[in-house]
Amino acid sequence: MNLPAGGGADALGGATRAEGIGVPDTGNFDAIFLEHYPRVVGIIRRVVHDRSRADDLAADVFWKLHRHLPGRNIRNIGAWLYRAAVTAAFDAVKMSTRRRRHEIGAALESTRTQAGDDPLSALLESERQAHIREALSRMKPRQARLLMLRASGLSYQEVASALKLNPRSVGVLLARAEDAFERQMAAVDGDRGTK
Amino acid sequence: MICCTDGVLQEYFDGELPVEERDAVTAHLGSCKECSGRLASIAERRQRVTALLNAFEDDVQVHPRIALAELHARAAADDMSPTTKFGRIAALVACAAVVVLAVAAGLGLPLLDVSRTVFEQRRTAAVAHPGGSGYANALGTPGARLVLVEGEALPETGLLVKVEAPVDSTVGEPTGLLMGTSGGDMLLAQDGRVIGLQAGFAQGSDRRK
Repeated sequence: MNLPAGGGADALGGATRAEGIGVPDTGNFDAIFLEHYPRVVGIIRRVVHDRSRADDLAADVFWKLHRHLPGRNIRNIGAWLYRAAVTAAFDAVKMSTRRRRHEIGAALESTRTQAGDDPLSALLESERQAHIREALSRMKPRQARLLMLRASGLSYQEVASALKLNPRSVGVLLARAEDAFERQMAAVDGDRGTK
Repeated sequence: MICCTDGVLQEYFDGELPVEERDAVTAHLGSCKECSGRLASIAERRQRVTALLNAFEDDVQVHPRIALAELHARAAADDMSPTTKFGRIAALVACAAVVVLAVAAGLGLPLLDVSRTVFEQRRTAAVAHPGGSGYANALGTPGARLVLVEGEALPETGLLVKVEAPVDSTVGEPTGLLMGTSGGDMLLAQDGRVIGLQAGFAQGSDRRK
C-alpha cells in the first residue's frame, strides 16, 4: 500500500487552510479523501447522470491525486479536486462513443431507481437528462463548469479557487452562465423537437 | 446609490456580498423598482435552472469509506503492476526465470517434475479403486472421480487415468490448483469451485515440460 500519508500532505493541508478550503488537521490522504469525496462524486453525478459511472470517475480523480501528490505542490487540494471532478465529468459526457453508453446506462438506472415499473416515465426522464447534458456540452466550458460547481453547493470563493477566477467576478459570470444554459436548453429542445 | 449591476444582484441573491455592501443594496432595493424587478428575475431564473440541474439528484447514500477501501485495493494492485518499481523487479525476475527454463529445455536438461509426487499418489489410489472415487476425492473434491482409461498406458508409469468432476462442485485442498494431470485432463478450479476440465495434457505429461 503506497497511498501517501503524513508529511507530504501536511504541507498541503496548511496551504489549503490558508486559502479557505480546508483539509483536516491530520493532513493525510485518507482524511482528504473522506472530506472531499462526497462533494467530488456529487459534482460528477450531477453532470453524467449515471451513478456507477460517477463513482468510477470520482475514484479516478482521487487516483490522479494519489499519483500526483508526491513531489507536487498542490496549493489547494479542494480546488484541485473540484476542478478535476468537473473536468472529468464533462470529458466523460463529451466522449461521443461513451455518451451513448451513458445514456443507455442512465436510462436503465432511471428504470431501476426512479421510475419504478413505468418504462414511459423512464424513457422521458432519460431523454430529459440527455437534453440537459447536450445543453451543458454546447455551453462554453468555463460557463458549464461554473454552473455545475455552484449547483453542487460550492461557495463563490470555492468556485473561484477551482476555476482560477476572481471571486468578485463569480456573480456576473454565474448570471451569464445561467442565461446561457437556458438558451441552450431551448435550442436543444427545439432541435430535438424538429427532428 | 446608483443601480446595481447584474453581478452585484447575483451576489446579493446568493448571499455572497460583504455585509456593508449587502445593507446598501437592501436599502437601494427598497426604493428602486427596476433593480427589484431584476432581482425577481434572477430568483425566477435560478428556480428554473436549479429545477433542471437538480431534477435527477438521487438520495442514494455516498459511502466514502467503502470508496476509500476500493482505492486502497487499487493502490495495492498497482504496486504489483509492471509500471511500479516493485512490479518492474517482479517482471524482470519472471522474465529471467522464463529465459533460464527455455535454455534448460533447449539443452535437454531435466526439469522439475512438480506433478510426480501427486501423480504417484493418484496412481496408487487408482490402483486401489479402479474405475473411480480415487485420489480426487481424497484431495477434497466431492463428486470427483478418477477413471482408469482401459487399454492405454503412459510410457513411464504404465497407467492412464482421467479425472472427472461435476462443474461447480466444491474443491478442497489445494484450492485453485490443477488437481489432475495424469490422464491428460486438468481439473480447473477457481475460488474453491470446479469450473471445468481442460484437456490438452498429452499422454506422459505428468512430466511437465
